Amino acid sequence: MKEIVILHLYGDTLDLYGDFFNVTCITSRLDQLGIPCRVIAANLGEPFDPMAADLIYLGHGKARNLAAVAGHFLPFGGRMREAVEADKLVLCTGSSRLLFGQSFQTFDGREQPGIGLFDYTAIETGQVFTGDVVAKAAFDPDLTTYGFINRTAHLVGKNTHPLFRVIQGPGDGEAPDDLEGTFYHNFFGTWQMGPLLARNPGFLREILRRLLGPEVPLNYDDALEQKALRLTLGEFKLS
Amino acid sequence: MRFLLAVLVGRLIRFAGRFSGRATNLPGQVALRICPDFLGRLRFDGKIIAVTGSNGKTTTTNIIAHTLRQAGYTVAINEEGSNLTAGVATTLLSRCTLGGRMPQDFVVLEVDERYSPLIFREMTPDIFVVTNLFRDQVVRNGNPDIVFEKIESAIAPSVLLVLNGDDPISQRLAPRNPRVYFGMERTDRSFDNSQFLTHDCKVCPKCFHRLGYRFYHYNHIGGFHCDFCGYQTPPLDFAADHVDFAAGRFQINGMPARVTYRTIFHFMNTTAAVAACVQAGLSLERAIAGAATFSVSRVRYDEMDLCGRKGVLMLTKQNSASLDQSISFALEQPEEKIVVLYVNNVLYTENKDISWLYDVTFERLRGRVNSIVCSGNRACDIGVRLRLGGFAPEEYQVVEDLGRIKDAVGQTGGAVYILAASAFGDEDGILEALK
Repeated sequence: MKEIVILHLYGDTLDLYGDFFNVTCITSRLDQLGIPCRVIAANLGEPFDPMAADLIYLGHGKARNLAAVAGHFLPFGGRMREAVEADKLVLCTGSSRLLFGQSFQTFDGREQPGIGLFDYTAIETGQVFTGDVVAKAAFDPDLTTYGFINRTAHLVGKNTHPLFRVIQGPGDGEAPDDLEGTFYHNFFGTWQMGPLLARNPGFLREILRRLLGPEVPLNYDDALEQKALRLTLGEFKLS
Repeated sequence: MRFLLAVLVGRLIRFAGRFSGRATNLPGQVALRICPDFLGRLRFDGKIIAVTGSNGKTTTTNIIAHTLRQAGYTVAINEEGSNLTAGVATTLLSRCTLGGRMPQDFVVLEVDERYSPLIFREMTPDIFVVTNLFRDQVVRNGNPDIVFEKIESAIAPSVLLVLNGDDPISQRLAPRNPRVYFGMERTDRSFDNSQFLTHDCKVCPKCFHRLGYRFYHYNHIGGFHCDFCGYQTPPLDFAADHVDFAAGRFQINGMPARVTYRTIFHFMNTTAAVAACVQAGLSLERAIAGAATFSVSRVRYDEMDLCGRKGVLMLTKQNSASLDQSISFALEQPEEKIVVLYVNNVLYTENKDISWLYDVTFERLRGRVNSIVCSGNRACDIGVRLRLGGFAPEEYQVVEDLGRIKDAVGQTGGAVYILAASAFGDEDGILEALK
């Protein structure tokens, strides 16, 4: 099998609360399946080619750090949009998703353009907004997920490509809204931060299926992960 | 009039609370309801020293108060955990005169970093110590930048700052304010490369280029420099050096000093406290001598007998750097041991988030402890974290049922290091289960 290449974008700058373990989740299962893989890092000031990777990952960052990478990311916008339209696998957790919208407000009140792949814009509130999120995944309505949101901005604009239908917890905006995240071709973006794929073994399997193709059997034991998620979900009073 | 009424009613509630065991916050809460600017109306005869930061603020506050008392001064200090507005109000109203005057030479206050703008809107400290800033308790704090901005907005121009020169984050606070820096030179436990997963300054907080380090003490604390913009550890006004961890001895500005609890956190906290006390008017010699007799609160660290085995209990909040230090401490002890990780939901909010466990460098335990027992209602989540860290199934046990933990621990050998990484107050569950 050919080597899988994962591009971890701005891992030095967008780095909060164990996000990079999403990459570890993928590489450790690939190892287990005997599939060679390599992680390339591209940080501020370094060039990257979205088409050269099989999967691109961006994590959650502090507001100042996100503003710092946005200017660097912008010139790659055209290639990035082409890559997503060509079904490139992209996973964004936390605030990195803002880079793909129309624009977002920075910590100091500037309007920072995104690459315009999606319609949303983000308003900075300066207030910390946190919460548990239990949701159904758009790619598999039988899959219930758990995640955690920690943000100071919220999204405005209609969510035409939601990744999650929220059962409990906050959606994309401030107002009650049961839609969260972005799911478009093979682009997965969510406000949910931290080790999303470790918490949600079904989500990890979906990513691996898309990464490797349906013909590669995902023969590994994730009973502990399944149990951990089941116990977590069991603590919510879901109707 | 409202102010005097607030003092009186607060005092009465506190007096009654002594018999009913009510929370330390209630008298302050009521006083603030009667007189919302209660804190601003108090009159202080002495100086106010405030302490905040992600790690070490309780200990540093206590060392400062202890040292000042050793030097013969009268001191008012807030009790452990009462560092929010109401807790501070409770402390002050219980120590002021009925006329609302604080007669002590010093008021030493631990202040929650998020509440500093509220508290300092009403009263201005003379000296403000910031121990460090880290990612910490995501549910409450968001991230270190948000906490930085909150603290900075609270600092009046007159405040003398005591800052950690080895912390690239908090060192930048209020650049126009008068300040002194404390810090620590390289020790025999310093690292050339980062050893921890949590590193809040991989890039320079000023220009976002990669930050360089001459050495690391722990996490992002160490001798740093940015080759691009020149930001670096400044010349230290209070420099800890010649640290002998085993003996608990070191020097501050060349003068011999001692600690009774021999962790790097504690050497740092002691240096910060000495710096604050010197700024408060003590001689360096007197400050060092006072700090040397301080002993750490048993609330955060305790030793006990567990069915004939040595037990050690260490508490942290949802703070990866703090749990990393507990792991370091356990590993530094030469005896055979197991580690019991006890993690519950976030106290008060009941959030089930465990993302901070992915920032803790558990990997350092591999091959160095006899077993790891995962417990608490997030036991399975800890197991998932360890598996992803490369631990083999035989290296750890997941025990969801606290009733089974005694058996699980009984099958292992060595001292039992309990790292209770949940929230203060619910560690009794694990101790009861193990006895």
